[in-house]
Amino acid sequence: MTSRDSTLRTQGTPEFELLLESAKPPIDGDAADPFGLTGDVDWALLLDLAVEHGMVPLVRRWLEGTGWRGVPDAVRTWLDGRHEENRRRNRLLTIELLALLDRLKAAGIEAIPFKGPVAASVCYGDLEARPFGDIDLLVAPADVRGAMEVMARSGYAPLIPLSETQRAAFLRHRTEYPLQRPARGGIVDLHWELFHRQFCFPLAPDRSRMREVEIAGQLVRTMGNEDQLLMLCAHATKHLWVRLEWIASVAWLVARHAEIDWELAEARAGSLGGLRMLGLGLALAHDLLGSRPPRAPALAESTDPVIAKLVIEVVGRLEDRSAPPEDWLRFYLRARERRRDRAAILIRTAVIPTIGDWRMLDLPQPLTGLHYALRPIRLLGRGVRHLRSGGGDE
Amino acid sequence: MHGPDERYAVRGDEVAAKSFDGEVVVVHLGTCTYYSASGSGADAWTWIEEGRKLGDVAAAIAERYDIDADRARRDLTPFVARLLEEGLIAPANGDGPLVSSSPSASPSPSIAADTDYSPPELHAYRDMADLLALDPPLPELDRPAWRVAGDDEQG
Repeated sequence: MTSRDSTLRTQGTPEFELLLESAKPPIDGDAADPFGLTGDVDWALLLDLAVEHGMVPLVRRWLEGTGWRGVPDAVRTWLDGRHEENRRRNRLLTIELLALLDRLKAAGIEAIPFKGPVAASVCYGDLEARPFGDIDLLVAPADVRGAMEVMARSGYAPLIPLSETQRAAFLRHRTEYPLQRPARGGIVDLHWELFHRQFCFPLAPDRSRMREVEIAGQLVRTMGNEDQLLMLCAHATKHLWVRLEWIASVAWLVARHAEIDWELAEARAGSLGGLRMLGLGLALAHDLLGSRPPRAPALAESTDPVIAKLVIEVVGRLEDRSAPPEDWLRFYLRARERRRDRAAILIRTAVIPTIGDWRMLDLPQPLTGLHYALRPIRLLGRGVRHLRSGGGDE
Repeated sequence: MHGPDERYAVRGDEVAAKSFDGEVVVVHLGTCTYYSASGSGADAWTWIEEGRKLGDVAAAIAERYDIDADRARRDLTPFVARLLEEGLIAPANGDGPLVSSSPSASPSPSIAADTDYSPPELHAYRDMADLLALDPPLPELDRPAWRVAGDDEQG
């Protein structure tokens, strides 16, 4: 793993440097000179970047910590306004989450919340440190229908209108279902697996390592720190690490939880084919934000050249907003160390029906398996249209 | 209007509430409205939620903030009316939770050091659906807010 300031050099724009300082977990004696950082800042660009990277709360907190030195009043006012909105949004979603957990528990269903309020509490110890916009709940596959019934009784309705047949097939073949109240409160993503199957990372919480986290005075059961870390790294990989806040979450989780069992994290990642994703997350946290290197032997001594290349590419895209977006499939393939996972990603991408596939054709129950056969044909048709139109994204 | 012996219950089917650093946040899940109360309002909500009689709630507020009992009762009445009007509470049917009538028996939910009294207030935010649906826009980046405001000190 590279040392903090030996090999990785950012382009050093004042805005990106300030973003990085804001994202760093506090380390004694390592405070940057606030005036040096805020002196030449293009504030409009900084705010734009802060929003894009989910960093508004951390930027505001960092600037507040500097005594708002050199910060224009209007920037401070704007950040305060966003802080207030973020606080309200996060608190509302937290209350909605806790109410839902109570109802599911009363129905005998264990739901494990992840991301959202849980990630904010576990990583930062502060519900307001990161923005979140929905609620993610994981239930056992056998509990999905029961959970949906509880949610329906609580006023939630599916966001994706599907026929009964489509829904049955959807539940069989997909891994999450979004629901929302008619009053448009938080969207609840009800998961029965953490990641969609095309991603080929079947992480399931290790029941023996579950932990409790206090949220708004209520103890909530969630996955252990090692699984949190794997989940954060895999989730960010799924989204190509385009947000600095995801790197900050990893850095803060590592900084605040010295009790992380690194050998276990490494073993879990290795058994699931996620060692490179974990290594990438830790390398980004280390190289960009000064996170301490892990004490697990394989990760600490990692010489995986692909990780180093991916770090440079991710950082390049983080810094350069005009850089062309990475092809997600290519990134997924490079972020996995096992050949069999790469092959599975390719095959599943080609055959597993998407929501668009389900909705395009409402097949009767006995024929829903045909969606798998139709998926490659749809992909082929899409490719032909793409070529005829001379390129462009679809 | 609201007798001292009356009790109310939170409409748990539609309403959920939590305390955050001395601020009580109440959410009407049916309308996605966010309510906030702090100070004596947070105290009043918590004691009402516990099932205390209104007279006891007023007495507890009077004791906690060292104010006249009549004033506490007068101030509590519109607050309770507002909670009813917003559909956050309903008259209890009499078999709800009973607690000691001693005002000092239950710890105050609000921040202990803040005992400056102001009448209980409920702030409603009805823009939450929009807030959840959209990331609020940045200030106009072509014409930054501080320039519009005539503040020239930005770099």
